[in-house]
Amino acid sequence: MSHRALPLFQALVLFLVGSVFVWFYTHGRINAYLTKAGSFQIQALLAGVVLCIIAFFLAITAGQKGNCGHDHDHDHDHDHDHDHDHSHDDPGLGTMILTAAVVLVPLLSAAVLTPDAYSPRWYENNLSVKGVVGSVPEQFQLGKKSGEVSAGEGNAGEAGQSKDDAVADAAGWGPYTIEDLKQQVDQNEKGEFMMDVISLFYTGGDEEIQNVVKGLPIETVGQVMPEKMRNSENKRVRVFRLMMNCCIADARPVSIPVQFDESIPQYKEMGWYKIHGTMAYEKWDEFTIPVLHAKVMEQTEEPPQAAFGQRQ
Amino acid sequence: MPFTDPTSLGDFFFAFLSILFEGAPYILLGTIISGFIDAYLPSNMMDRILPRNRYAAIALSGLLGVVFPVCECAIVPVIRRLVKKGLPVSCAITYMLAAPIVNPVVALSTFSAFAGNDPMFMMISRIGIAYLVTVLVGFVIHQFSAGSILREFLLSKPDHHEAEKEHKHDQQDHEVEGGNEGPDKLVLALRAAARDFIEVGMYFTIGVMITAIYRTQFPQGVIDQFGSSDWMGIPVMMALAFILSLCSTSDAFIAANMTSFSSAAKLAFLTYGPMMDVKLVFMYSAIFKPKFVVSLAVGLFVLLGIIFIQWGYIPVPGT
Repeated sequence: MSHRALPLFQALVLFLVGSVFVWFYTHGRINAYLTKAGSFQIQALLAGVVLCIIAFFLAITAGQKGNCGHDHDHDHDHDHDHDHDHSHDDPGLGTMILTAAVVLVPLLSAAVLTPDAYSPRWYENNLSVKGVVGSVPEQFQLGKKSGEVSAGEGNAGEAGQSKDDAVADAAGWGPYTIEDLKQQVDQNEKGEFMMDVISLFYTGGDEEIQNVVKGLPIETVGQVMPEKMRNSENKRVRVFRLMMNCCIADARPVSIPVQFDESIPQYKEMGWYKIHGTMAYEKWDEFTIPVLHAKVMEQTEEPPQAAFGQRQ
Repeated sequence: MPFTDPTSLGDFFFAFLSILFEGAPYILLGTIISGFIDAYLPSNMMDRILPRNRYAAIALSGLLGVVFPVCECAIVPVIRRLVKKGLPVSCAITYMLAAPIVNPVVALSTFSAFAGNDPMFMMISRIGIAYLVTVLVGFVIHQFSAGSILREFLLSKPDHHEAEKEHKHDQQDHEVEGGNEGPDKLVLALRAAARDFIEVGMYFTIGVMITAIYRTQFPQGVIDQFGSSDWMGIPVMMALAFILSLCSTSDAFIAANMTSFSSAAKLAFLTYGPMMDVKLVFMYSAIFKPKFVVSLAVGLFVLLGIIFIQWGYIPVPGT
């Protein structure tokens, strides 16, 4: 076997792996796999480029003997009395082919066959129909934070509030108002609050925010699936968005029911829709569930970042 | 454009690729470092740097992640090479277990993930407990021989490259054809990196496949029901960390959103996962004997489980 075979084969493996990374990045498909937040996408691109560079380097230096940095074929007139039999961790080409196959077969199969999306079955398995449990992720918090004082506040003591309320207001923890919501959420030209599904879902965990949001006109965008819970009249669908932290494998769909006054309009399951309606809340066991009472549901384009952890 | 419609197999491929895209850059980084260690680091240098007192050396090894921050995917090839270069096994394992947690990147990500939910308490608890546990593990491992822990190929010392340097040959008589020492070492380093990437990548791929199967073929919400009690929540969260095989730089963002679990259960998740998970079992198998890997997985599970069940009784500041 030529001494070039092993480094050339390693170069080929690295090139194939690196090409998959570069291919997915340059064709924008990486957006479906890794969040844009942070540096995950650029790390994947860099890894692909570096792998290709190393592969190129290995290929052009494959002619250099000395897998171990020195020439084994030299002849000289002294004894090799050291323990130097080269049965160390250098694999043979056969072993390396088997090892590489374990890496390449799943990778290349996945790269060719992946649909870049989860199936409806996955969503059905992972859609939670529970309400909010525990604290709200910071990026989806609508409530006031320390230091935020809404318009019209600041005179709490004079308004006759209790001393505790005045202290709370002064600290920015006063009651949540429509003015706070307007500061935090954009409105469309019709005056509807443009809120993402995940933020709407988390309003179910805060009674004070519910009191503000309840009855307000809302516009939201998400994917639509049939509603399987409490839908005996068949007037409901479920709208969801994926919440992804780093990669799509850690994503989970967050959803709310959408109620129609009449029958459900025709829709494509898993399709992307813009829904206009008003917010309401229902008690489902111990949970408060936000329900969007829809007036219009129209098909729309898939947003650039289908799964997200940021506001729309 | 998608090549196929979403199916159950498509779900697997989708999740598999995403974990691979997330983890492989770190493996590449680790294997490049390991390749350069192989080519440039003199044998036994690590042993010479560390204190002579082995217990002090183990305690110091637990802090090496502060200076050389690497995640759990990157550390395995590095450790493999450092052990071959003479780093004592007890110090190597302490560094290997601690570095993915006791490092500034993870400290920052933990603090960010728990912003608004006692971030300082969670960050210090995670790092502090991880450090103490890994040093304790190092002390225990120091009582055993390397032969009972390492795979055979790592036991042959000295490293052949060092043998080359130490034996009687005149270096001038022994050069690779076509080059001087600089380029040859670079070739050597990158060949070693490539070999390590493919070998460690094999174990990583197997681990990622198992993780992707779990994440796509089983409903993920079922674990929430175990969050009501630490007696169930802590072992369940550690088992979940084992299966999910998250990167230590990002796992805090997942844990912070598992709102049905206590802080102690989240800390158990954040401490056990970077030390032991599905992909790491396979990657560790590239260095350690299977019996040791199983013992380490079980030992850490029991030790951390006991610690965090007790930890659950400590009130979290601000609550």
